[in-house]
Amino acid sequence: MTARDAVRGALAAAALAVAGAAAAQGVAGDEIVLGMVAPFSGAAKEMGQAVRTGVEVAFAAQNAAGGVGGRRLRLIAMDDGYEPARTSAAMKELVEGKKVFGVIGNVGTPTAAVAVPYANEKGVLFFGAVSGAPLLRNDPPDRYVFNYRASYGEETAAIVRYLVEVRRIAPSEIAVFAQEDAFGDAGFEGVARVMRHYRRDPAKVLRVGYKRNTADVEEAVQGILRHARGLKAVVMVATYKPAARFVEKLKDAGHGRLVFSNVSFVGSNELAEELTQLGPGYADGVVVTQVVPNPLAKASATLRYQKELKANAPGEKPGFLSLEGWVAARLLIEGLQRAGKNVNTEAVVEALEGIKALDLGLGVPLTFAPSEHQASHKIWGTVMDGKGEFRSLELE
Amino acid sequence: MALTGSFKETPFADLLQLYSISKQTVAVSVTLPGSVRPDGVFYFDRGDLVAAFMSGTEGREAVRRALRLGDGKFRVDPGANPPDVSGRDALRHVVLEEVVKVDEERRAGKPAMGATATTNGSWEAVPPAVRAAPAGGPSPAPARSAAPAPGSRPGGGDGGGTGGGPRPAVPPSPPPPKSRVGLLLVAGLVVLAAVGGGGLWFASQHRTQPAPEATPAPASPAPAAAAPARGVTDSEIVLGMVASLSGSNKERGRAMRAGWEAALAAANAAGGVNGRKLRLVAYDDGYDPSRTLAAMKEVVEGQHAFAVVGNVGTATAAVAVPYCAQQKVVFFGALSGADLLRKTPPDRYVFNVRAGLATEAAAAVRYLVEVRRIPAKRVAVLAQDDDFGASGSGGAVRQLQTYGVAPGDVLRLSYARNTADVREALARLRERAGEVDGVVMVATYKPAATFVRKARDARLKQVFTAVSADSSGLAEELVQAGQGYTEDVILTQVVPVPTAGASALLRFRKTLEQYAPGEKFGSTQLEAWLGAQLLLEGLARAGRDLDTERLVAALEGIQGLDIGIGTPLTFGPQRHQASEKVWGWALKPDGSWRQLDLE
Repeated sequence: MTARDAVRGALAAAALAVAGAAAAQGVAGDEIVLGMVAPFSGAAKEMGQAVRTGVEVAFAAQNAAGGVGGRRLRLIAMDDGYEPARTSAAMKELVEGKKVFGVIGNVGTPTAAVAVPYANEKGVLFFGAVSGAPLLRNDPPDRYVFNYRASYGEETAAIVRYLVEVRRIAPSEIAVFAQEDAFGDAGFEGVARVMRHYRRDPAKVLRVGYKRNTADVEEAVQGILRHARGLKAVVMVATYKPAARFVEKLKDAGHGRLVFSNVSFVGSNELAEELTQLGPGYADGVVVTQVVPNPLAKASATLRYQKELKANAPGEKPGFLSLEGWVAARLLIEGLQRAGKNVNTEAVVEALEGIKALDLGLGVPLTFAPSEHQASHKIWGTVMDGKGEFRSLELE
Repeated sequence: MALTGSFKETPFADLLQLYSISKQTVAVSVTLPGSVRPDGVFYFDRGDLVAAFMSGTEGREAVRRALRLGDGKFRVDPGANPPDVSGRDALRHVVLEEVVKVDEERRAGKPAMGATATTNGSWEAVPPAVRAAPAGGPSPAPARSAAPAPGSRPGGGDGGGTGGGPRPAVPPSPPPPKSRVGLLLVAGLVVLAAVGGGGLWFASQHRTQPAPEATPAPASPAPAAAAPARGVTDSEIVLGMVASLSGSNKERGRAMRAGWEAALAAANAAGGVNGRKLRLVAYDDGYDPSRTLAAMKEVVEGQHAFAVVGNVGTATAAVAVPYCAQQKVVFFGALSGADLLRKTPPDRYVFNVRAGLATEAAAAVRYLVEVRRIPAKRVAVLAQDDDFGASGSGGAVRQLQTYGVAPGDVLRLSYARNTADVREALARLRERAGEVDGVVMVATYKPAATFVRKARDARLKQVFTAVSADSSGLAEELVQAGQGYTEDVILTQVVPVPTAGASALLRFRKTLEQYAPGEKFGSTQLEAWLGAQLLLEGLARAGRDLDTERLVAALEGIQGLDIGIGTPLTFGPQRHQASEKVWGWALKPDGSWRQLDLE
């Protein structure tokens, strides 16, 4: 046996030991503890708060109904300020300090780029993160990473198809405003894919951007203004503050005729609030693609969500991100229930993979499988009116 | 001047052999008695039958009919171009099989004796011993269309990635001794005094066998009756493997065996299948087709293996597959993406796990055209000059055809098997460099790497793709070459990267750590492990009362089995290939690979 073999053997033993410990970690006789790492400070803090609300509301309602197999669900949320540099410590604190069973509802792509490898290494469930990026959607899918939502690629593809097919805008008249990191890249890749479908060279698509956690969009706006004559729409892959600023500046510059669309991660309700504060007209016509239905809809799932929200978080308004957190929590609860009394990570992974066409009343059946760790592929279209209210928009 | 003749004098089988040996490019038109116009036409391209049409049928059925003609006229037009040569390998194999069938049918009438075609088109009896052991006696050279190149040699593994390091090319071993060929020159037409069409093939192989008596007559019912018991006892199922365990391709055979053994050990530790433990007997053929049959016979008839699993290579499969068909032995999960293992409809006893080379090459073409925006007419193909290369280039050419490029317009480059001599291919690429933006390589890693390196040295900027070649060998060669050689080199693979976090891959790595400690997590080991999971599933479903037919039925019942490999695995009576999936990998400057979306 060489030294290298010895090290390899020791690592394997350590890995098995960790896996063994993970089986019981976070699961006590009377509770199951889950963690979340999300922005609760900084420019994206409303997003973290909204997702946490959704998850906590679902947990509270489930606990009121007896919990899962007699165990109550508890969430420990930690702040990373949407900064990947802080994500690692927060994840470590949750998994190794607080000994959570798994994490649910993490927010963000650059932060997931840190958290996902860590969860994989530890064999910890990484469930229902608010990110549509490919790094959470490996092929084949990572065993411990489960997504509820459709991907950014699916979102941006849907919006470009809508602009071209429904609004009759030429692919060459569409620009992209994207965050300059893995999030923006993932969204742009989705645009590029559809552009290829329309025989448009993605390299020729105008892409402007901004830096994460800033709202400095001046350069991006100037980039659009230089080409404004040939543009009719901008696909935005941005968070709500820079997105709002971008729309504001372009509308102020007299380009209100541009069709603005954003992916779900923008934080729809937060974007609406920012735009309506500026005065009438800014929100009007802004399109947002969604990975959940309208939270105010009268569907079975949304009615239940509204009821549970009212009961457990009085004063909180229904919103897209909190609904997303709520749906993710409902899915995880389903998996925990199916795993039965013996709750451990491996059993829950297999139970989740056994969920086939689960119909919560969302408008889309939810399915997991060993080779499919994304429950929904559905995109809903919404458009804001002048008051920032969302109404549904037929994308096809 | 067109040559004409009658099938009364010259059977179709003789024409096949004639044009195979003389390597001519001709069209043979067939006119049945009473017809005024030709009823069929058969195209030979440098000796290979590449297209066959007969009385409204084509391909296999056309060949089948022609072989049974006792009357009618033929006319030979030299230099005639076939309509489309993409079906070349399929037909090459069809010819072999149909010739064997005719041979068997003839002999079935006279069970005690073999049969041989004579120049007058009748069949006469010969003692079976002559067929089985012609080493000392007169025997024809194997027809090229019906046999792999007699000098096929080890080295330069095809058909699958592996974690193995670079393998130095070895000097070719001398070809097996050729028997004397009896030729007759009759009225300007060379006609072979053949030892019965199909007998040719087996005779040429059997000469290496020490005990010809042990070969059961293919038409005899004995093997079928014996099959249920073979290799299956109360407590054990014996599986056989013939792979390159020595020679320059031994790393791949070794990796394949290690993967299977680890998977079987894990299954045994969990109680085996229906109360039986599994045991693998692996034999070496050195990746040399001339050694494959002897090894297969030892595994199946000597060791009584119930099924043959995880064989390595295309040229060796060309020998092993007909043998398995004859013996009614399941031939499972071979490391080869060649067409000859993927017929339509599929051979009953041949089951594949991985996507075929044609599928891989087609995915590479789609990637170049759809993602890289390279006009289809600016995609060239570099292929090894054998079945392996032809299977891949066939897929590439068919895909290019869907983009409106005529097969004849595709720039096809080639190099000789078991060499890295790509000078001629490179010279042709340089000549046409202005018309080519992408090259699909159906090559082993050494010539592929050499080609890319030389192309970059010549300041050619094409995007290169390689089918599931040895990924680490390719990476190593290009990284060592210096800076800038790794750019725009894409690999297609039939398994995902073994180090990712998917359920199947975690299980694979755990199995290897436990039962083959120190073994590399390579794509060959993964392919072996994956094959074992599928076979174990089939064995479990076949039940305790196990025989080959029940195993086939059970395997064909596996539908949508998802073990977390990224695609559901499905067999069926019409589908003997579990996965159609192709993954893309892009080479990074440091020699590692990153996943690449091919769509």
